[in-house]
Order: sequence, then structure tokens, then C-alpha cells
Amino acid sequence: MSKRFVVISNVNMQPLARLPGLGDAVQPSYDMTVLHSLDYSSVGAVFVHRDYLMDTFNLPVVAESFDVMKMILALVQEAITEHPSVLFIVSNIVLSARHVVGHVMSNSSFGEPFEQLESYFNSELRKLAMRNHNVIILDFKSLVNRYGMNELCSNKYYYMSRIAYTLDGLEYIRSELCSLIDAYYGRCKKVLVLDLDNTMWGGIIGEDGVNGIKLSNEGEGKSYKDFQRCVLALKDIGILLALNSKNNEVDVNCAFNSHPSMILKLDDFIVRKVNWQDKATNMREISSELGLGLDSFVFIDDNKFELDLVKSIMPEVSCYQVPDNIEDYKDWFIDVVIKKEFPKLRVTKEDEDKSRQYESYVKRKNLEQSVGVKNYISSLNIELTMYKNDRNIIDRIAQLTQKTNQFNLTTRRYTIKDIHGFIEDPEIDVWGVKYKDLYGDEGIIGVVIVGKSREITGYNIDTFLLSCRVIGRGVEKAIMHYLVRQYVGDVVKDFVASYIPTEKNKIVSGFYPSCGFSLRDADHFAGDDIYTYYGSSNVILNALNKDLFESNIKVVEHQ
Amino acid sequence: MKQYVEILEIIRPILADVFKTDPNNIKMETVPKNIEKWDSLGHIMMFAALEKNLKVTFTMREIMMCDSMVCLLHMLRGRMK
Repeated sequence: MSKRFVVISNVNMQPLARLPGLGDAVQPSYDMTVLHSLDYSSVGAVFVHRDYLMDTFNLPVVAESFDVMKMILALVQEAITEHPSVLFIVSNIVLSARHVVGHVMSNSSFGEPFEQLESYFNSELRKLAMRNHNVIILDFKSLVNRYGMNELCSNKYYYMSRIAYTLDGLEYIRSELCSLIDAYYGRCKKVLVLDLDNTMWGGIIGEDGVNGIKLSNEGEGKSYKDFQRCVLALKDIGILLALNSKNNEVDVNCAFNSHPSMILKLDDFIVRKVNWQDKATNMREISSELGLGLDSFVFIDDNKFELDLVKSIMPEVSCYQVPDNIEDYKDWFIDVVIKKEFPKLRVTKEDEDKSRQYESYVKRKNLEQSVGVKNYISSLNIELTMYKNDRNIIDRIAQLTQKTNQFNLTTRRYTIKDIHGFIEDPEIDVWGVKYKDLYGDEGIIGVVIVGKSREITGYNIDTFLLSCRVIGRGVEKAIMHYLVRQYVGDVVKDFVASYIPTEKNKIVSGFYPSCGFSLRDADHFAGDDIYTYYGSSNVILNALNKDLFESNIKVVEHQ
Repeated sequence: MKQYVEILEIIRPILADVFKTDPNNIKMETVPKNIEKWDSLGHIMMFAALEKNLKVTFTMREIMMCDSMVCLLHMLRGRMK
């Protein structure tokens, strides 16, 4: 059953309910204090939007507004604390852009309180969002900066029925809300694959040469240069970049190494397929080299034929064609591609290091091929650090449950606030696993959620997952071994664990049997098959001991 | 000047989309009570959609006064070449 989406605003936002995407949005009242009295039982998300564009200000009103703002902030604070499982989306504010006596406002001290009011509210709101995982901000201020009051607001509909915004304005708000909700639930793609000619620069490097391509500080060349800046910004928040281009590698290397306006460097691309193969084959190779599924790929090319080819063979890749109006390249990339495919709220430490980590992933793969798997693993000197119920890594833990598809036994998706709840619960432990080896530190790559079982005298493994970067090194067995020892000490205890098959996690179908568990039950629940395994601690430890001895993996507790 | 029927054909898909109804339900003799979603909010959404799609504008008074399809067509006829 879907939960209600509630809008709380001083202006009429009911039209949102008649636009697609937000279900049956309801607005119970124009009174912001309804935040306090609302029945939150079936509410999934609340959108709090205090409009100030339509207000008419004079000085007494400013003083009053200060109190109103404090009240709104206090109401939001109260609601988010009392209803931690509800998501609150709160707009930041813009005070009216239409001053009654404009020159006085800009030239005298009369204008100061306005500026202070706006920045007071917005900075308090930001603090709320930084402190509370169930609060996110809709950047209404940037919408106003971008589109302006004339395009966003409508006097006519405001005076007729308190609808402050035009259809376009409401549509911008709606699409912001959808993008924020996607970001909150971690629906962010992982890899941006790019073509080169007429995508990263204007013209064709093989024909026009390094000096002939359009990439510069003016005209069309600047449009491409700005696009490259945007791509680099995505890399900085943890999106992996790859090249998929029909070209001679020599020409391309020369362009990247010597063109003065080139923002991106060859090293920014974790995998480079610059050859004359068809692009679908290249795409598949990129996917297997990174160990990432094609459904986390976004592909930008200027050539419709190439895009159609990729789309028809691998429909899970999101494909975009470079727009004809190249002057809007940057805006298009931000408004269409990033908003839809790469929505993100917070950047974790792992995100910042992501490219470097995948680089060592590719290096390790090369070593593995040269020395054979077993020797390879023991030569890596793997060290795992176990974090138990650590609040500092909640963001990353939630992110892993949202994004991990392959080595994930139950594929249960949890939000930050869910994980928070588990940590608070004395019967549940949330384990984060950090990985380090010869080639570097991978950060937190594994999550295990273990609870006291209600059915047996032992423990229930709710979630067991590993980032695909470390699959195939025996890390999972070392983690299992460590955890079982943690929970039992010298006494034999039972463990119950489930495997829920999906299209992507076939790789773990034999995981529990290989750890000494045996199948007890195969059930069908809510559209999923669930296989339930039982294992007693002594059998599990016996089964794992031999593997671990060979793998040379060290497991320590975080101090 | 365009005939009412011609204008009706132009606005039919716009209104059907606003009111989430079959285009055939939009007729010359339609009044708000014939269409479920032609309530006060629907009324505003209809004018907003017409203004956006046909690049015309109405004043607040006109919108408040309009109470039937015939009245709407009449107002549009004066605005559409």
C-alpha cells in the first residue's frame, strides 16, 4: 500500500495532485501549524513549503515574519523528531522580489531586515537537514533565481484561489520533488559513459586534428568546455566515467594530452574503449571490467545510430543524444540528465575516492589473471576492519543496502533512518566492514545486519551484502567466521539466514551451504521466493576454517 | 473568425487531459456539473492549460464569469485567429 504524500503550505498546492508523479497529494490546510496536529500514521512524506513571494512586506510585517519563521522551524523540528519514519521535504525561502518601495530598500537600512530574515531561515533550515536524516531541502531559491517571479508566479490564480504558481512553476516544483525523492531512495546511476567526437568537443578529432576541434573559451567551443566541467563535477561526487568512442587511440591520447582547453584528463576515465568495435560490445566490456551491471550505466553520444544500437541490444542502459542546440548543452545536462539519472543528496567518503578505488580494482584483476586465484588472494594481504553499530557510517551503510545487487543475500533496501533505528535497537546489530589490501583502502564495502532470533535461541541474519568490488576474494567467509565467533563465544548457538533470489544475485545462491548452513524451508512471500537456512555455530566454523587458513585474510575490530 | 466547432476540436484534447476524461465527453453543451473533475480546482487548471497551450490570456473576471463550454468557446473565439 502506498503511503500518503502531504503538502503543508500557506498557498494552494492542490494542483500538484493533478500532475503526474506524486500520487494523490493532499493539502489539509493553509495553516502551517497543521504540522503539529497532523495524523502521521499513513503518511510517507510531507512537503513543507512556506511561500513568501506573494507576501506584501512593510516593516511591522518583517518583525512578525521573524516570529512566524521561528515557529515554522520549531514545528518542523518537533515533527521530524516525533516522526522519524516520515520523510520531510522543506523548501528554502525567497522573500518577495517585488518591494513596495524598491529604491528605499536597496539604498537604505530599511532593506537590511529582509536580507537577514531570508538568510536566517535558510541557514537554520540547512542545519536541520544536516543534523537529521529524514529532512531534505527543496531549493526553491534556485528555482526563483533561475526562472524568476514572472515565470513562476501568477497573480490571477493567487487572488482567485490562492494558487501562487503558474503551471510551469508547479511543474518545476513537481520535478524537483520527484528528483529529491529519487535521491533519498538512492536511485542514482553509477557510471557515465561518453562518446568523444561531437560529444566532448565539436568536430572529429581524426579529421580535424587537435587544433581543429571546437573546444575553447568562446562560441561553440566554450559550450563543450562547460559540458566537460559538469562531467568533472559528477566525477567528484563519485560517478565513474568511461569512454566509448570509435577513434584511433593515438589521436585521442594526443587530444587529451595537448589540447589547452581540455578540462577532463585521460585518467579521469576509469575504463577507456577507444577502438573500432561496435559500441554495444564496448559497453559490455566496460560493464564486466568494472563488475557493474548495465542498468547502472548512462550513455551520451551524438550519433542516433549508435544510441539505437545500444538501446536495442541493452535496453537497461539509459541513452541520451547530445542536443542539436549546443548552446544549451550544459543546461540540458544539468536539468535533464543529472536530475533524472544522478540525483544525490549527500556525498560519502567512499564517493569521493571512488574512481581511485576502481582503478585499483582493475589493477588487481590484472594480477589475478597472472598468478592464479588462490595465490593472488593470499598475496593481497587483505585486512578487514569490523565496525559495530557505528553512527558515523550510517550514510554509507544505507547507500550499500540501496545500491548493492549482486552479492546481496536478501536485497532489502534500507534508508538512513531505517539503519538508525536498527542501531538504536538493543536486539539488532549493524556491522560495517572496511577493506584494505596491498593496493589500497576500499572503505566500507560490506554490511551485515544481525538480530536476536524470535524463533530459535540464536541469531537471525537479516542482511548480508558485499560491494561487487571485492567479490571473489573470500572476504565473505572471513566475515561470517568472525561474526559467528563474536556471537557464540564457546557455546554452540544456531543461526538462521535467508536467501531471496533476484535476477542479479545468482552469484550468492550457494553462499550459505558453502558456509555449513543447510536448507530448511523454501517459501513464497509477497512475490519473492525465500529460502531459509539453518546452521549451528560449530558446523559453520568447521566449514569455514580450511578456506580461511588458505586465504590469509586478517579481521580486526574497529577501535 | 473560427467557428465554435473548430475551436472545440482544438481544445478537446487539452480539456480531456486536464479533466482526465474521454475526449468525447467534451461537448458543446457541457457544463461543469457534467464532468467530475470540473470542480473549482479543475476550472483553474483548465484555464491555466488553455493559456499555456494556446498562448492566450484571460483576466480573473473572465475566468470567474465563465460557467459553460459555450461561454468558454465564445471567449476563445475573440482571441483565436
